[in-house]
Amino acid sequence: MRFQESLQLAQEAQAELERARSGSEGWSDDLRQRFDAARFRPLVEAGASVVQALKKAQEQCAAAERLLPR
Amino acid sequence: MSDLIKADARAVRALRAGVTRYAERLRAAAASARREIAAAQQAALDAADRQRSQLSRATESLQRAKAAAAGAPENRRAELQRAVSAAQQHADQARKDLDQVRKAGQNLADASRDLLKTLQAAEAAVAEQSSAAASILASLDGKLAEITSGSVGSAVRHVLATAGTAAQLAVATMDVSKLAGNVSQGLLPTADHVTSTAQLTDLEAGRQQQLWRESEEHNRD
Repeated sequence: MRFQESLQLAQEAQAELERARSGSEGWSDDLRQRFDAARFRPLVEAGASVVQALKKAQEQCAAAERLLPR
Repeated sequence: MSDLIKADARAVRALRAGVTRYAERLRAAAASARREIAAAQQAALDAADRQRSQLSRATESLQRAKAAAAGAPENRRAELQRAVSAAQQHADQARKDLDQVRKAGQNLADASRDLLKTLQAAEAAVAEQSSAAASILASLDGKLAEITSGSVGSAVRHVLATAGTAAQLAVATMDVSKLAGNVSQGLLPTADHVTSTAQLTDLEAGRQQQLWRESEEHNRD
């Protein structure tokens, strides 16, 4: 199956970001909300779009490669 | 106070390092995905080359079989006609296989275009956002370091000492030199005037929003 490595890396990146964010638990709600809205959310969304695109590409490639002769 | 601020500073550094690692891993994921899609497309191109060669050979065999059948004596005509039919079937199959490989190649090209477009957009967003986040976090880190190193005026440190974590972080997001200046100019109350976290939080709430905007604008510039 293609894209295993890239999917794993993208998912690890997302987990890394969540882990890093958990370090901000002690921040004031206001500061954390501002940071989340301004910077954190776009990063999470970018990572999620990559994971989604990789899964779609994985399916498309598998379907296309089934058409290739053995 | 010092322990709380040091803990906040550690949290800021951890988040900063985390954002950096996140950006690095996502870049690695994108690079790996580009290699994979390129490999898949190359495999389809190689398969198409092989199928074209097979079709070419099958077509030549068919033409030879047809020529042989056309000039064959009566007693061999049925046998050679069967050979023509077999060659025709073989050529038809080779053409069908080539069409299928071409379709696979087109599907892979579409998948590649979609994937690369998403990767490009995500990489641009991550580069911009992670760089800005790192910059904001570096600024926070520096301000927390200033507070812990004692370069902030004693009045401000005393204010911090009377406040809870929320207020300390509110101060940490601000321009400390500006705050210290304001204290020295009497624009901010000193510890003598501020005795509770609630007072300090109320005091800073409006300014924090303004300073955050300034910090964002500064990082955009």
